[in-house]
Amino acid sequence: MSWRYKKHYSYRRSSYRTNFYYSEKELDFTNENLDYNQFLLQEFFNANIETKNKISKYYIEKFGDRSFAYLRRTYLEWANGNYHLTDLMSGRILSMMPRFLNSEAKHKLGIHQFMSTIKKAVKTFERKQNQRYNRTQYVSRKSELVEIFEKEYSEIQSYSYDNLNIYGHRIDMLKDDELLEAIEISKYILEVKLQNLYDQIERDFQTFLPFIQNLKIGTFESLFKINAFDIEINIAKLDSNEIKVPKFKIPEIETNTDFKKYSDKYLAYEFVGINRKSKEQIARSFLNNNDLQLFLNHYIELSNYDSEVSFDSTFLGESGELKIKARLVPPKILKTSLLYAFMKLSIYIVITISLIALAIRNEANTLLLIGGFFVGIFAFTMISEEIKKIRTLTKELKTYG
Amino acid sequence: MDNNNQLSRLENTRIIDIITKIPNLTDEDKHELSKRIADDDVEIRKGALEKITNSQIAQHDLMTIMGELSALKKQGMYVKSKQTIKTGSGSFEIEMKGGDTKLIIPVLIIIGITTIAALIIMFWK
Repeated sequence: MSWRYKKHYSYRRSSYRTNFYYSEKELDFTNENLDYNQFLLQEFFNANIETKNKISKYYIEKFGDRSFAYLRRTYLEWANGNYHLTDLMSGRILSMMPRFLNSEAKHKLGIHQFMSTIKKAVKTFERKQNQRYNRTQYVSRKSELVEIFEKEYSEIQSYSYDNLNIYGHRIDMLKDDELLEAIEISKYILEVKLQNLYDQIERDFQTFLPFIQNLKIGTFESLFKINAFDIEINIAKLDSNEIKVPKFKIPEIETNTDFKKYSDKYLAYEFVGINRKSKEQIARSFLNNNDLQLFLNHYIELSNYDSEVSFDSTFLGESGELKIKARLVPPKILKTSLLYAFMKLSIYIVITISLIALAIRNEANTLLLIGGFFVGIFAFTMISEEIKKIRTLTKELKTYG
Repeated sequence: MDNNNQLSRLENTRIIDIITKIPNLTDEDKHELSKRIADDDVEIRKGALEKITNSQIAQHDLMTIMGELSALKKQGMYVKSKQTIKTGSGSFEIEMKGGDTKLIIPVLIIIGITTIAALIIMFWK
């Protein structure tokens, strides 16, 4: 056993294992980032004879014969993972390997860059989209809503490679037309996702709007929140009974690059992901029609009761959530409250007038001035509050009656 | 409620059709993708069935509440109640207060007139 062996004993792996530590691995579609160093080491240990000869020549020139002898002696131990590759050695390998990559390795890097550009473009756009809608917008006009939808589509249309802010990619294997094609594929994915969202929004409006028309005006307030754009729509005050969400024609993309096989595979996986997300939305909302009907039935039934009824309900849609707050007050209750308010008002007025008359009769002018100021404020507040109450109740009586 | 009709919205025929038409996919890829769709489907349907159960419970609860309320209404009693029910696609909160008002109005009128009369007599003297 040599001294070197002893020195690295602690790093030694179990001797009975005969694995090839840096064996070639398939390209991982699910991983956006490539372990570039691992890839270079993998290429080093899997190089063919011709490349190995080139590497040997370069290594001797750069680091000397003795160092190369050590590399040759321990090569298989490293390759099998029996010895830990020191930082010095791995640093040397990593620095020289980019110049010895063969066409196959370059192609693999190209695939990775192509795929990661698509993924990064989609991710970056979605992040910017979230930033664009980080403040709740309150909408009650159809035109405002359609404008938001159309603007979002044009944002995708004007999306380009420059928006990605990728300066000096470490792996620069793609030509300009290949990069352009990667961006086109990501735009296609974004368009499919957006159209899918718009279809969901349209289905929600088709469910919610006819239902809202069954409720009595003035007795409810309803807000529909579209989560993707952080919009709150006041459906009760919306100026239209029908919302047509824009439908755009998504052109089929024609890929001509060497990476078509991979981009097709990636697209298929994206479609499966979109399908899952959209089914989840359907599943969470698919009973809203039944629940809305349930709500309506009880709203009608309870409106015939002699009691005051308040509803506070939420209904999940495919694209967002509908909140309805309704209040039903029977005219009988309102009339009683109105009568009660009138009584109170009359009592306050009688007390105030009587107190003033009493003070004048007894010629208590100082008391009238000082007492009148404080008691007057109090009396004025009480009387004005009752008048306000009577006004509100009269208004409510008009609505509910 | 036609739950089967609602569940049919979760069919995967369209996506499987799209995937079959994508060129350059090997049989292995297609198999893997179909498996993924089937796995997702099982999970989604499980959640959907849970919602159907919730909705049925909510309907039952609402019927019970309405029955109780109408019984109290018949008895002419004052009612105050607040109920929160979880439905298949959200939640209901119903708050009720009120009841028979037949006696309230005459009582209010008598009390009001007596108070005003008493005040006038007191201050007149």
